Amino acid sequence: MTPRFLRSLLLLLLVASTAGAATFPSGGPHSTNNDDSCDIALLPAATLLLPYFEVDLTASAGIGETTLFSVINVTDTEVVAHVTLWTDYGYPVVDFNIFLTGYDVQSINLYDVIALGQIAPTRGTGFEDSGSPQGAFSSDDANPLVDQTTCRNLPMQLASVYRTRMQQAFTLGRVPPFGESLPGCSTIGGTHARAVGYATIDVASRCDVFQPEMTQYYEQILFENVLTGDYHQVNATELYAQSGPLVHIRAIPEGGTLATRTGNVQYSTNLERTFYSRYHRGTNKRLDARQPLPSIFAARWISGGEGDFQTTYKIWREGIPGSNAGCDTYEVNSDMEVAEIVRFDEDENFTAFANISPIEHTPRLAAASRVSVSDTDVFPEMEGDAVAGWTYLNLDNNPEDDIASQAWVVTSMRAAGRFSVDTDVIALGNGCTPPIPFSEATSVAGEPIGPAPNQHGQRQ
Amino acid sequence: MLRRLLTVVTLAVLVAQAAGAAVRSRGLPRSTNNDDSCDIALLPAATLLLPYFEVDLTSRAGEHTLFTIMNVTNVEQIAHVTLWTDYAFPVLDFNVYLTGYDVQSIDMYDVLQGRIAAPEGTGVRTSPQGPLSEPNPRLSIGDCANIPATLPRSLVTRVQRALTEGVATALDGSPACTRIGSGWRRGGNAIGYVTIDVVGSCTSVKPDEAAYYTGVLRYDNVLAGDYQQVNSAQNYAQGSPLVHIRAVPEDGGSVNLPRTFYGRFVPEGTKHDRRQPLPSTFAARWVDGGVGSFETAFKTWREGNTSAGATCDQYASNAALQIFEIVTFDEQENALAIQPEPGPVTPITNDFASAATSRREYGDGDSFPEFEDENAGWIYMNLSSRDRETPRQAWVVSSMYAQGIYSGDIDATALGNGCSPNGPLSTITRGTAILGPAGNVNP
Repeated sequence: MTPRFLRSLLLLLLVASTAGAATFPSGGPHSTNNDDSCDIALLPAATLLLPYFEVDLTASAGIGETTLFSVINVTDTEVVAHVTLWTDYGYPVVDFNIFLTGYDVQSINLYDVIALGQIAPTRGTGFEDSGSPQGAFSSDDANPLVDQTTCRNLPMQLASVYRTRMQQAFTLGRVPPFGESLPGCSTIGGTHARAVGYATIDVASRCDVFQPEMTQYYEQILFENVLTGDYHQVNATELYAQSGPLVHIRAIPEGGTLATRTGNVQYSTNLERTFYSRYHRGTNKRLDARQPLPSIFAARWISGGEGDFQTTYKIWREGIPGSNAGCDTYEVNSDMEVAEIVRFDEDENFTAFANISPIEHTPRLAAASRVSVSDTDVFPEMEGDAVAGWTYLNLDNNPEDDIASQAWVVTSMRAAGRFSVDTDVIALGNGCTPPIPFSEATSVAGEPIGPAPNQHGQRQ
Repeated sequence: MLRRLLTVVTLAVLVAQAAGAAVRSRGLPRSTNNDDSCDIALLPAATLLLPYFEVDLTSRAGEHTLFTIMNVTNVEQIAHVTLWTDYAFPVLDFNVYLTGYDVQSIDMYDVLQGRIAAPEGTGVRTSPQGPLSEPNPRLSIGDCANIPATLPRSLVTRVQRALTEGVATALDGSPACTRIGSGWRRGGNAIGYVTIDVVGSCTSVKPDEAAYYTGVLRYDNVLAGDYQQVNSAQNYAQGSPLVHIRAVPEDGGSVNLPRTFYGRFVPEGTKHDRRQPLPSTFAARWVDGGVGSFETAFKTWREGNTSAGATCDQYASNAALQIFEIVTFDEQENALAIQPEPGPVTPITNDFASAATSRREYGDGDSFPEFEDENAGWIYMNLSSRDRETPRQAWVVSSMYAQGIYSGDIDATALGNGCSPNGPLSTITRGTAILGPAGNVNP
């Protein structure tokens, strides 16, 4: 080795170790950059998740239960937000596009969509529609990643066949056949008095009809963290409203298209799985580069007492079927196993459910649900007169595999028949955390419940 | 010599890369580990922030705020609670002893009447021990045996006056202060914010004292919490998580954060608190008027100017912290802006400012650039200040009301994490930056 060669090698090593101005080889955090972690945070995102919606289709507009959400493009450049509405069994029923000019905001009332078949009524949300005007500070330059011509004349009023399909899917769990390509399905959702499901909103490059469970979808999504949004669930008859931010899921690393990212080390993702992993065929299961959601949570509960408190949890869970699944496969998402639930009262007493001896009671939940803490089939009942405490939820749907299935939880509290609030629940680890074994509450060999270890794969 | 140096550097790089199973030298995220980023997320934390509280001291049925603290570990912890005026004057502190898996609700109405965790209080002797709760050998709990459940009347009066009149009477060696909160010009409800820190002992040292960071504060990310603001008379309730601020790194080692949440109280550059800094730029929805008689208010916490050992008269500098830039968009993407001088949009030249904590309504005619005929849109807030080199930390909660019966609190979306540097004014206010998310690489 010559001294010159050594010098070059030394320089290379030093450059490699300091790549990225705010990354560090030791100490913490290892990176202070934006969009450089597995933590789900309230920062602009490439995918937004509305974990649960509920809409009363029988009431007149503005009277019964409905869910509204808003999507904001926080950049000056136009993008497409692709909205998919899924049943509570994780079946994608309908999808539509929102063309967002720079700094655009669009509200969607799911009563309009599901009950009336209307998307952003009166002004529309397509390219050059009056509902998508170009602001003075929206970029004059077209976004080269977006094919805006595909967003002309987006439908404001859906044909009645779509409306019927949505209403049956979200309330009866079945859909009639649609043309020659889509068969009728009878077990793609639960039976509900109100329409129930969840929504995903992805940044996309064009207004198209592909849905996230189709492999073609990932050729069209983008990786720009530019969307933000919130939701409101309102019931004008019972006089309550609950609100929260949508779940903000970032693409990491950000940027490019599937074509430009493929094989480009600049865009290689270190996420071991992603939000949409189960829909990818082939060897690359991380095509979407979306952060995975966590699986373990700590949620407050209050039940009864002087204020007649009620607590329900709105829970989203990753389903099991992958891309292009057949009709009959979605039923598996109706009652997916929950690894462990431990309920504490305010005196730190606990009760627990898990599929382990001697408890051997396995709680089961669908891909989207709103479930009361008083439901003793899901949540272990506290002894005595406890009215409050917190719940440890390990929502992994298969404790025996090596993946912690994803989830999100919102605590929904009501009191005195007039107060209600939604609060996102604290996760006990990020979505990159491996499966957490049974705790000492349910297993003699178990570990104490607590935050996941900082370094994955190690106990603290 | 060069060969030896090369060996050392190579080894150092390899060791660094191996340290932490999920830390990578290529690709992103660089680390997938927990507690290894500058992002503020809903994960167990070492400090919780209630960015704004409001309490009607005349009636429990009026406006009041409650918050809850959970210890999500099996070992006991001590949470040190500090109440600050809206000018960031620390007016009261107390300790909450939490056994393993404990949860403690605090009703601010009770606290401001002198009752801590009523009726039993909180302490080693009163907090029950669950079957899975364990002792924490790293704590000094001797002083947690008799945490007072009732505060002396003189202290209650001092706290009440500080939060409602902005005046603190002299008490037990603490000097009398005036203008340490906005109450002197506002009156009415008690207003302020709360911090909750993991500490090692039941202490009376406060976060504005240097000793807090050398012997009191701990770095375990073990707390979680939420709050509710309720007004029974007006039939509304709002709720949200507390702001969860993690200690990074949790287990020691060098702190790579460029600044910290409590940075102004520790010797410059030491970053002794290790707490993640909060961001300064936000995007928040607004809805105002329309069929539903909508209203939107923003509860805003901002980092004050005062540092450790501040004197009474210095707190007035937290009364009107300058705001770098605010831009209001309507749903047609039209923009109105606060700006330092006339620019290409409607020339509003007010020198907008707000206190260390405040609740300001869109539509009050004074706090935000407002559209006359539009009912909804979003607001970009850069809550840093032009007179600072480093960003001023902040947090924003959108508080929406409709039809006199509905209300909800929603945390605003930050447009960068707390490690993002100050940026220039946006092009909307004749600056150079395109308004949007902060750059991914922080210098």
